[in-house]
Amino acid sequence: MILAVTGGKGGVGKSTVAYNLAAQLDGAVVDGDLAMADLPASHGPDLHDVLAGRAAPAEAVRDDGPVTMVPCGRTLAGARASDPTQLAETLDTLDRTHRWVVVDSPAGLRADVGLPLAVADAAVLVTTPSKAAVTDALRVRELARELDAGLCRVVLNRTDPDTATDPVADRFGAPVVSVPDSEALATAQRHGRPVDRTAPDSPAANAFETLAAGVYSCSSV
Amino acid sequence: MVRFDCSVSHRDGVTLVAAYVRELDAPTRVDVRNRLDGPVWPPRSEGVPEAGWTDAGFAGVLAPGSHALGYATPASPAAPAAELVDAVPMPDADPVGELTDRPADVLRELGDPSPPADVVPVGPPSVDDASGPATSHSTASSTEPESPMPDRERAPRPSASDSAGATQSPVSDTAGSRVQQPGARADDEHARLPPALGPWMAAMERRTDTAESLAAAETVPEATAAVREAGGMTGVRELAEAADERQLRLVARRARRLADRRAGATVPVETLSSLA
Repeated sequence: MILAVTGGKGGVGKSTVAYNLAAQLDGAVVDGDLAMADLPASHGPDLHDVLAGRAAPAEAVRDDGPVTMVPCGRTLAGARASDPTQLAETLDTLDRTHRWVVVDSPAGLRADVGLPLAVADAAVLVTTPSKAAVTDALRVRELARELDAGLCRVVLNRTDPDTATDPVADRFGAPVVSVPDSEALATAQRHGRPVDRTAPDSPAANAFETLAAGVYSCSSV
Repeated sequence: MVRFDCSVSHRDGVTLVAAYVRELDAPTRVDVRNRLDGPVWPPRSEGVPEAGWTDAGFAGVLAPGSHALGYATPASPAAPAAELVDAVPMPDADPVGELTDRPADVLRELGDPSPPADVVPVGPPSVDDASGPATSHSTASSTEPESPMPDRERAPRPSASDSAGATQSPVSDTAGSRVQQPGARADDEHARLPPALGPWMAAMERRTDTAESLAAAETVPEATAAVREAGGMTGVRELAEAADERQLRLVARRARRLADRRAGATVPVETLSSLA
């Protein structure tokens, strides 16, 4: 199953959510931000090479870290040499060998956001409680609708205990999972580890567990 | 009843064909073929041909109503430029141009996310390049900006079987693009300067040659010869104190500024002659 983690606005925590969700689902996370990759890089073929036809999708899969990952190259030249239309086929190929393929999408509404949505079975939208972030996430929801990617969950990131989730759920028409502002989560992400390994009992780890359970329920519908 | 006609105009070596499909009652699959002796240059969005366009013309479902299908071709104009080969009503089909989840449609509709060529550094790979297969990345940076092809057709996409060859070839490409630079400089030196500037520039070249041979002299005989060529110690001192470099840089700066201004000012000869 292909899940597109997207949100419109930059800096709302899409990569953190994608990474931790993939960890919970025991799936593979694909860094789909072709020009400004976020997830940890390593040596060897990456998504740029796959999209430029220089490597097979399987060659770009790294399963030696805490989370199975397809990293993306860091160079603009690599991004320019990539053919974004190959993303759909690449994700389909990965989908055949992985139960869950979680795509960390870039910010914005360009084709690098639309292409994963076009091939995804479901979308997870990430937003912070700020008005600007919610507005952008609503735009992406419209795009997801047009491209037939069902909205599975909205992640309301960096909430404090007073944040109300119901109004957000009403606006998006989907269940909301709240991820509290968390030092443990930020530290785990900085070290390239999922928070359920570094702080398994933290509220953030519990939130991702809830999110994963929600995603499971979408897949069984 | 479907009506079809087309018009042609020719401008700057390009023939523009406008084919009109009028009065469709229902969604209709039409096949419009180019009859001119040349390739079809279809309309594009974000570098991707619009939906329905093929090498031969347009084939796709059009919504009810009237439509104009325009394309360009380098072929000479002739009549008829295009023909309607087929028109079959398909009441249940989706007309072209609606957002589907096909990758080409998504790309066309939402825009190519690739960074523009101008921001891609040209030259030796940076430290970051070392994190991936460095040869392939530097390939793209050295060859792409020179390619006139539209985005998606530009990058050669080797199949898995010849990927080993693909990592080799860029080296020669890179070398090829670099050797052009000295050649270009030689051309500059042989280009004819304006009469007012020529003698001064020639004098500057001579003085620079002399300064270089004075600087390069390592033995007493070499130094003696160089000093004699410079016109004795008086000439050497004069050369040392002369502000040649400053003057040359000043000229270069002013020339560059003027060239930029000149580039921005297009003289509208045709407009003015029509007014005169």
